[in-house]
Amino acid sequence: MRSSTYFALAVLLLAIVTIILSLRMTDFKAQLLPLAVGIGLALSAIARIVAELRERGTREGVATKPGSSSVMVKSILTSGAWLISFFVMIYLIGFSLAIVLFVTSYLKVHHRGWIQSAALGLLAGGFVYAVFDYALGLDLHQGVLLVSLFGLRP
Amino acid sequence: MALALIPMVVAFTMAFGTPELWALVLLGIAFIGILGAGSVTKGLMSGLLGILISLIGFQANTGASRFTFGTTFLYDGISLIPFTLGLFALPELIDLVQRKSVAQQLKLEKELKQDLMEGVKDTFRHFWLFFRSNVVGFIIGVIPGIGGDAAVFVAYGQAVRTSKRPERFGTGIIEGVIAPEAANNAKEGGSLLCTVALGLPGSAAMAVLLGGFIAVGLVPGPGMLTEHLDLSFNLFLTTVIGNIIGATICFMLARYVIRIAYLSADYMFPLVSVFVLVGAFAHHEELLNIVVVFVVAILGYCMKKFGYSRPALLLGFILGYMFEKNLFISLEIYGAGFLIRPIVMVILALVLLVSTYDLMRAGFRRLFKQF
Repeated sequence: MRSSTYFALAVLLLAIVTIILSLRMTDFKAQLLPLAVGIGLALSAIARIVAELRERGTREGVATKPGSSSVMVKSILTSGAWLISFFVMIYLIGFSLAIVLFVTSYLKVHHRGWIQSAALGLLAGGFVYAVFDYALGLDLHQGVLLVSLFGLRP
Repeated sequence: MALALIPMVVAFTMAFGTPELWALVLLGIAFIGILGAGSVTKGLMSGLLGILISLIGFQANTGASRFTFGTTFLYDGISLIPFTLGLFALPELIDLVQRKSVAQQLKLEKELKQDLMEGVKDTFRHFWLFFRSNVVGFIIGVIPGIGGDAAVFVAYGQAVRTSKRPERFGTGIIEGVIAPEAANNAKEGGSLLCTVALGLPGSAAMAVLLGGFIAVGLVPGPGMLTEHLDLSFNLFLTTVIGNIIGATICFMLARYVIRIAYLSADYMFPLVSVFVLVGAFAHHEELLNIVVVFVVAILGYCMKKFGYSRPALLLGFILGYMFEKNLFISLEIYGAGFLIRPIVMVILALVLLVSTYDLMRAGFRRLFKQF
């Protein structure tokens, strides 16, 4: 099976879960639309899976560049890991510091000089602080680590 | 257009109740299949997924919580800003890392100037589409409660529907740019008219403007068009002049702004990620919005990779909640009889026309061939 078929299968599974959860709802008004959407989604997902399985035979001959898929997956996973690390940093040390660290480290890892990386990191952190925190009065997250260590406002 | 249509629009808006809003939302949903661009099942799946996600949280009419799994964060449902950021921004960013930069080769100054002029000429080449999309944007902007976001998609849908090359939509085709952008600009005029003439803001920006009116002692409503007609005209002219100034600035800066497209992904990825995550957090100052962005980004990336329509998902997400709310309010107030109200019937006929357009066109062609 192709990965697009797996996606359609995942949607079908979601539709089935939706139907089950909707049937468990006690209020008719609350359950009507989720049930209708769930059934519609299940039917269209089944139609998609059938269409994809029929198409499979005709597309099997299409050649893909050897190794291109694994390079793509690696690239996606690396980007995802960077983003999740950034989120963890925000949670732990707050926006201002996390932005400086994230931008600096990303640029440094991608072969930029220390001065350029640090300057852009500071610029991005300073810009976000100046615009969002100072000018717009947004209460940027301070980071649980900094709050517990230095007693900053949460 | 706003200036000329004031009396007509006031009467039109006053005739719009909950049943008419419901029918209009249904018309928007009918466009979902068109946004699927190529595959009806993929378009349907995308739209239905969007509607399903919009149902998370409290149900407007009963107060019952759905698909929240006891999480208080989900009681208010998924917000539009983190949802949109996750659906479009992050998948494009991850894609950008693989491509290294948006555009590969820097164009010469002369080529850029030519491209800019071509863009201007394209608007006149597709003037009928531009005009139609403006009308669609204006009408949807006038109707309070429908939200200007729908105008863009409905205009895009009608552009696909009437195009001679619908299969090329989604590939950067110019008609796909003109239609939503024209509607996007036109909806502001319509929204302003509704705010001034009826005191009903059609968007968040208009709600702020309404607050400003009240703060300086002006009461928006039909009286604004009689007692303060000069001020009302002034507001519309300001919108027109603002658009002209905005277009001039964009035209002058385009050749410089376009250079961002040639910036290496090494710079774009961290800087854009920062703004995406800060933008998501800024909405209600909620850290969990960033988690929503990540979850939706996974869905968005899969949809992009497997050729599903993300605009259809977004349209379903925007309209799903409104569809359900207006349906039950209409049923409670008018019973099933709301379906035979004149405007509702006209819109339902349009829904039927949009949904069966392809079948009807094929049928007519076969009929003409026989004769």
